[in-house]
Amino acid sequence: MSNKKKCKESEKSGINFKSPQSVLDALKNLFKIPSLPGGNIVDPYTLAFLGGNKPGLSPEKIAARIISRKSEAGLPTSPIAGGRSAPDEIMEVIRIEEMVKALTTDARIDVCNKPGAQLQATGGNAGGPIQVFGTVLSVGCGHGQMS
Amino acid sequence: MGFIDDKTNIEKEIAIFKVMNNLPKGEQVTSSIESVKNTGKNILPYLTDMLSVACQDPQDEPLPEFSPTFSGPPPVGVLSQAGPVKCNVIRILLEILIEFLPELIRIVKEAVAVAIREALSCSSDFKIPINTVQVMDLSLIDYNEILRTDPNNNLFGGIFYGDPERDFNRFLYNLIQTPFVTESWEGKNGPILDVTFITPGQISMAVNPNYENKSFNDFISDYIDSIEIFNQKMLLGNVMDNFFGNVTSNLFANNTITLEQIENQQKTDKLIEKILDTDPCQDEIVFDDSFFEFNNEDLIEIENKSNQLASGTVAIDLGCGVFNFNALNSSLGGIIAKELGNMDNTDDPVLKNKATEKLIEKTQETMANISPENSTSIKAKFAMDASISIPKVVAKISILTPKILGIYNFSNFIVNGTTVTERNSYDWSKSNRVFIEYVARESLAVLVKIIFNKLKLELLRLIAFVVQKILKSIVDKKLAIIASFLVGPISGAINGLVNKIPTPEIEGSKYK
Repeated sequence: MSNKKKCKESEKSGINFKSPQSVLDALKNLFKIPSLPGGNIVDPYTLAFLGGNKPGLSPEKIAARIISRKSEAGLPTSPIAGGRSAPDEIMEVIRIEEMVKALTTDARIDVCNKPGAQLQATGGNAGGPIQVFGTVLSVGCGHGQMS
Repeated sequence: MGFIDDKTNIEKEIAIFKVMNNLPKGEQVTSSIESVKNTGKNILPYLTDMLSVACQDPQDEPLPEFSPTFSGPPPVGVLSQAGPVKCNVIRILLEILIEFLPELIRIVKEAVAVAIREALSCSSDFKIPINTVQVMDLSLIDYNEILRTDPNNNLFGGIFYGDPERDFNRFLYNLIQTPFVTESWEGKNGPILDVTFITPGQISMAVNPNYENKSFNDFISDYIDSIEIFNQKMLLGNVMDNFFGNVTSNLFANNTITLEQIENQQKTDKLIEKILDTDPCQDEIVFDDSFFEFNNEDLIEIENKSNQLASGTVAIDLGCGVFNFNALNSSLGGIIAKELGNMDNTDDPVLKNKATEKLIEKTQETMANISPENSTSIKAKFAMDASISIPKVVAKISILTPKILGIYNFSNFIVNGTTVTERNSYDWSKSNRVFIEYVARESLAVLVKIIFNKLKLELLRLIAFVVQKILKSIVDKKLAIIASFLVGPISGAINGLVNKIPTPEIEGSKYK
């Protein structure tokens, strides 16, 4: 009997249960969760007027939150004998400090505006005040700073 | 290595999804799982392992009355008594033996009919000539001396016999009690075969005139349709014997079978293992004689297993220690005889299922008594080994048995005019590898499908939990970001409350 006959596929599901590889492929496909579209999280006015209210990243606060949740993973959170901080907690602080440092000093944020944004401007010249209504035609880019 | 990588990746995905779901890790979520690292292509042990890894006790969640997932309550008739049945590997074995048995029997039956035609290269049908008669040695259709065993005693061979009305083995057993008397085997369309026992050890098989000048394919199909290929008791009894040797050791002790015959059966099992360890859709393997040669390690394993079955004392290897167990010297011998007898004495499927469940449960309990501190591992070992032995057991009871060897050899005579000469089961299996491969692959595919579908439901359940969490986290993130703008000025005060846990002081920290 030829191999082709041996591995003939009869399942409507497309899985050939005579082929181990086909079964593994079917299992792997189960884990492919489609990415969900992001969308606008915050409206632009809130971002523009209230953005400055944010306190910025604090490695201590992040580390404290992580350490306070250690018990959820079944790990003890108290200081070790002698009252010293546990090495893994110290390591947690170092880790977060380094991450925040990298984010605030090395991270690069590029911001670009799409063409098509509505434009309204006022100004003046010798002829009197001028009002302009229009649309941004080019892409405008800049950089941001994470803090 | 791609095959192992794929298996490893799926194992990791399961582990990751379980952690993402905030559930405690399963004890077996490690790369030490043997079936993950195994290069063999038989995927059944791997799927069984993954099912127990993926399975998660729903803990405090309210349970539905019936859940098709492995984590949910079992179906009616399977482990119906209260107890820790969820996530128990034994459930797989019981579901195969109870819930999926009819499907397994149906597919094996169809496979045997197709395999006879395929193996004899008989792609086109023809009419059977008149006066087709063959006289063959009984030993050539009964390599394991089944017809010398007692159909009425399950510890001395009854597990090889099925329903008295539909079992061709029992028909042959009755026939050899009355030499030179011809009996006809009947199918739904009338008599199919005329069989006569000729002393001291031959059998004459003739196509009944009812089928002369009729289609060969119809003849084979009607014969296979007329017989009971195996039933619940036969499968369960042979799974137990394959594990404990509780029947084989009795037959060896009363000189019905020899150690050589047991070894040949073990070689055949190994041959089936080797075939099933290949992927017919991926591997370009030619099954020549060299493929079936055994290395020293295989031969030692065959010898050890044969000796264990002959003595009835099996070595249960838990990986961290070996325990010897003799079923017949324990209370298990009586339990096996009683429950298999109960299955013989009733036609009620519910009672048969109860007997199956009881036997498996009591087997686990008895074995666990050897070493109570290892009871969980011993129970899991039995359940796992018994589950993955099923394709081999099915091949043994549905191929290497007089009811099939007889019709196969006779068909070979009708089609090719040749007589089988192989004197033992292993040589026959080697010569007729196409036949044995077809049936073994079909039975494995059924089991793979059953366990795959169980695993798929379990994984989908796990994935659904994770997707639910992802969606919730997206919403939570959005709300938290919006809140961070609105309560920014006062967030410091809130954070002050949260941060009552002091952060450790680090000497020499460069970043503050």
